[in-house]
Amino acid sequence: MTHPFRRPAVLTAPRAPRRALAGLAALTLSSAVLAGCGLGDALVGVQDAPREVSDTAPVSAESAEGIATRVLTDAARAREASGAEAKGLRAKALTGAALTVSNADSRLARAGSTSTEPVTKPDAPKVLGISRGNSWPRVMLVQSSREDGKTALNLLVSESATEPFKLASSAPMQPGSSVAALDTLDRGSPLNPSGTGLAVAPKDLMTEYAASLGFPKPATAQHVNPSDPFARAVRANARTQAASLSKLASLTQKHEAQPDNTVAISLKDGGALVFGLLERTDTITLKPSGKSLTPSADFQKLLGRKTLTKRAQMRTYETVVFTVPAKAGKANLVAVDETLVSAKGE
Amino acid sequence: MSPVSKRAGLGVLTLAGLVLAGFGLWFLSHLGLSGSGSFSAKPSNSRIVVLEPSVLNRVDSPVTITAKAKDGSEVWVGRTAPSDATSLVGKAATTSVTGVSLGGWQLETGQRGAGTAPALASADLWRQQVTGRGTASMTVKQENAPETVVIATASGKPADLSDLTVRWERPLWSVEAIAALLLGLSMAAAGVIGLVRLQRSDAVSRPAPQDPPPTPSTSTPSTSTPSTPTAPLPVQEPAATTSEEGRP
Repeated sequence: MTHPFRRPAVLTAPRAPRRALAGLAALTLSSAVLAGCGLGDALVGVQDAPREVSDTAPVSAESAEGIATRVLTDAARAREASGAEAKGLRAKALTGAALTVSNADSRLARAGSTSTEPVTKPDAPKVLGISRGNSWPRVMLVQSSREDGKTALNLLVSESATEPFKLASSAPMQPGSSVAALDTLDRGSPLNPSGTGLAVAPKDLMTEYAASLGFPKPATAQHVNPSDPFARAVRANARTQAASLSKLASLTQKHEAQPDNTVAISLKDGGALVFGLLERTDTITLKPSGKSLTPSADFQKLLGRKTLTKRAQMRTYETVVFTVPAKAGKANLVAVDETLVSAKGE
Repeated sequence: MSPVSKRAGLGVLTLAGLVLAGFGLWFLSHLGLSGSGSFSAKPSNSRIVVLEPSVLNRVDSPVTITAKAKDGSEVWVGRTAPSDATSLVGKAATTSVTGVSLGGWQLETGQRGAGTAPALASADLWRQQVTGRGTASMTVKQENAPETVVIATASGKPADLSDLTVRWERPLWSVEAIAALLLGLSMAAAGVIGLVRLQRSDAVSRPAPQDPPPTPSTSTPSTSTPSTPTAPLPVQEPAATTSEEGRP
């Protein structure tokens, strides 16, 4: 018997299809609403561009190796070139102390000097560290091998966006010395010009060390390892030279730090590797009992004369590289180079 | 739910399905099965071109930039960090590519700055450089994002570009386009089916025209028992007169 109030079956839609239709309608509506809310971008994988980070190295390790190879190759070419070509190549590859040293060395070369080679050969340069961050100047620490077999530390500097990296400083490592690890090349190593957290500020270290090399009255370098062989050698040579001059002439040696050429790059252990430049002035003054003075062969070639009757003055650049510990301790000289840059006398 | 509401809902569903299917088909026709979306522009030849991270780094997929120069002339492409690009060419006359437009699949550009750019190729801030005659192409991955791409000549002069194309490869886009197409078709089909069924049910449930009420006429057949042969009701004759009236 048919229920009197029940609708005929033909008028009743099945429950499942009706729910599906409602679901699809809801999905459509939801999609439209969510698309308006930005979910549409997310659905197709569009997102905001990430923010630029500034706590990494500005160049990749691969790029850094290419730059180091190019710079050291150009520096070597500049050293081997002559005349106007050499001047152009030096300006292209060198800057700062390295440019000054190379220019001086070229003058010695023209004079026939046997001076040591201040610019390294670019055999398999190895990038040890890159300064961190996007600001300038940017710095790169590169290890290379010299013709004499010594390992050299090279400091490459880019002063601005339009200035490519150039060799700013180079010095052979002292026998038995080592440099603690820097941060990875990708992470970069912070520059620390003011010496925050170091046992001694870089510029103070340079001033202190320069004073400790003076002759005849060297000061004591409180923050430098007293067993530093270079300082001992400089002082010993001065004493020997002064003794050889005996009563005929007097010798003074003055070392001055060049603060604009000081660069400190942080080591992983909290210390720093500090590059600095000292200018040494050797002055020999004849005493009344002395009649004339015969200087060294290099000096004679620079000066163009073999004897002096009153006084002689020589200027030498000393590139020094220290490792400075964090908080407390003594700085160690790990690399040094010296080049006679000028001479005068009468 | 009233029939009118049902019809409206199903109509919306059908329309939305068609729109969605249309979008899916349109995207699929541009993206292809590989999910490759290309946008192009014809930049001014008096300005260097800078592609910003807002274009290059919005999708987590590689993007390929292809610059074509007129008459086989030199074209140089460099990739670097945005701040480095700004430091180097931020003040120069540039055409900045800042976005894309789906209408016409064009690159959105704007002009900034004035003056010339410095020598570009010799700067030590490029993560990658490509130089070509007539065409230069570079693929930017997203691992170093954000990045900026500069297009000019190595010396910093503007390249004489005839066309600039930026292409993304994202296979998922094709999958999504196909999914949108199928979902849209399903929604449209469901809507149409629903409307048809609703129409049919309306037709069936529509009541038959009302008959006039039965009259006392004996000739009217009964509708309650249609199977029963109808016959006029017998007229019963009075068997005898038992009128009380004749009683005394």
